[in-house]
Amino acid sequence: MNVLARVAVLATAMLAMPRAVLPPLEVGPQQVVETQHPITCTHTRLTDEVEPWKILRTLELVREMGAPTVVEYFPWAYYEPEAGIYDFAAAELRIDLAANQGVGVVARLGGIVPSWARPQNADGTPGPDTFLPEEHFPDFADFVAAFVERFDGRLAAIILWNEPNIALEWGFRRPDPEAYTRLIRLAADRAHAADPDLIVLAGALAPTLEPEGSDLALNDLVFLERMYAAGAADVLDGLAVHAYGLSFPPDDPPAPDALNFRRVELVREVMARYGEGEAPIYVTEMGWNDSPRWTRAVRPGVRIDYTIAALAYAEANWANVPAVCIWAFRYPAPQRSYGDYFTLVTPEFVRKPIYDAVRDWAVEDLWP
Amino acid sequence: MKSEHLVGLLRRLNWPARLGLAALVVTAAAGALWVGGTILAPDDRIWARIQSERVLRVATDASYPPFSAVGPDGALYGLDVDLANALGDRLDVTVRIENITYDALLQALASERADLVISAFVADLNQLDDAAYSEPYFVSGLRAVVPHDDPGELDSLAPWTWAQARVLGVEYGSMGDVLSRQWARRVAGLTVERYETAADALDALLAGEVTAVLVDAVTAHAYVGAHDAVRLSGPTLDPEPYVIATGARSPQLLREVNRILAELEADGTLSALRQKHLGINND
Repeated sequence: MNVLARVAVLATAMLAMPRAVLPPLEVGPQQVVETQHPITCTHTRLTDEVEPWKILRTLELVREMGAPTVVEYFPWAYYEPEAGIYDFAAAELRIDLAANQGVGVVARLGGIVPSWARPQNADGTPGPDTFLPEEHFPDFADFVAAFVERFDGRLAAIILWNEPNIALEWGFRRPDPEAYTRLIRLAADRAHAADPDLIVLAGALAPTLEPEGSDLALNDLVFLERMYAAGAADVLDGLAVHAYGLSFPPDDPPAPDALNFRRVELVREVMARYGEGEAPIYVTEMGWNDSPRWTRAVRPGVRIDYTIAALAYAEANWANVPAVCIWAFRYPAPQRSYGDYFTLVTPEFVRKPIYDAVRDWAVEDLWP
Repeated sequence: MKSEHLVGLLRRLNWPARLGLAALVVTAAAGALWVGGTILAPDDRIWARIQSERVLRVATDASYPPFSAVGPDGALYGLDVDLANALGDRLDVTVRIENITYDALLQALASERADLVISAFVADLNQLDDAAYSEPYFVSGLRAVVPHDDPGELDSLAPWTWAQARVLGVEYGSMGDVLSRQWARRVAGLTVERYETAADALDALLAGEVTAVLVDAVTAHAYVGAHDAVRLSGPTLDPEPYVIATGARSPQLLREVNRILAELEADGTLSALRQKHLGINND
């Protein structure tokens, strides 16, 4: 065989290699999450995970950690590439594998707007991917209804959009609580029509102290007050809330001008003023960061202590909080930034000590 | 070569050989396009502006000593600040350094508010639309520290072998702790002692409580620089190269940065900066 032929054979073999070495996904028997603290939850990042075995491995580790619930993100644009044309195969895989592991899924819907529903830039290209013009609000409601119908009875809850009080998530426009409330009124009605038992949550607000009139964001408590004033309580079953501790301990007292874990209690006060004091709050993102590179981080050991203490505090002191979800379980690839120091497991599936600590807290007394 | 000769040659090749030849032609064409694209790249207007205004704008997040931080007098200091000024000297331009939060550093390049990011920055290959990266000027990651008379040397290919039968000190919860837990599952006799901080683990080494420690490179360098009784062992594990970022469309500026970095390395300037700020060299 001459050299060129050898090169050709080698190239052909290399092309064939991925198919040859990738085993088919073997999903085992139905599993159950065993935990002594069912409040334990984590936000997975399976959205951009490509390989099915990694999705399964992630959910196995979640189960073994003793977390019966995950929050997962389902971007609208991924599932409705053309208006009215839905492709839920990727969501199906994730929700099926979670069910196999006995893990409930709180589905965060929205985020990325399909290009066909975005405004056009001057050059004809689609505008910002979080920009949803009001004329397309009914399209989002259609998507939510289609998603809920597809996964009828298989979702723990849904979340409508994410952090609408920051411009980044609102098409780089000034956040607008009344417009957002109009959006979720449409979507929640459609979701409830599709599944009357489904728990529908408003999108968690970004904890921020930005004042009225800021183009960047709006104080989460102010935004929430205006949402309720606009009638959000009529259609919601509860709220999703983000509760980052930053550099403060988990028992740091809440205050309107403080961003800390117990800010959740101020959210509850707003809810109570609008007759929603007993409605569930899902803490869909929480945690501390231990990057040496970020000013709002803490040392790794402190992060572990604070995280466990926060879970225990919420369980002991907060009524109607079914889940406190640690951001983030694992990223599919390194972010090469301080974000990597929020995770419990590395992209290579190496468990960090904080994973072991949460698992020990959630399940250690279950085993002899 | 006449075309009929070429056709005749091709006919004498069997199919695998023809496929291989086709692959070579495609690769050569792609290579030519790549090289040509570099040569024929559009003008680097950032570089042109630096040349005309004689000002180099550098963004840094001054929250990470000893690389970049704010001193008691409000002035920025650190290895990154000195490196920015060294670049400015070699380019014969004025350096203006702006303190920008870490999250916004690459945006500062994309919006052309800054020409360079020098900020203990690890190259993010997901951000190649917005940024290009220089050769590294420092490699962070994890370093092993041992007593000066320790006869062993950590081998990056099988570090667990080096760790066998040692008492290893780490910071609880850190990436050193992560690695030590992995090694402890692979070798017998490894004992891991966990401390609240990396400095506590290093102090335990001096006190003889542990026989080696595994801590972040910056802390390790500073400690070794200040204590003659201990030394680094082996290469950096899980290396994180710190680089200078330019805008993605500033190829001339990037070439100049790399050229000057090579100069600074060759004439000892970078080595001196690492010695000054980190306590030890980092080749």
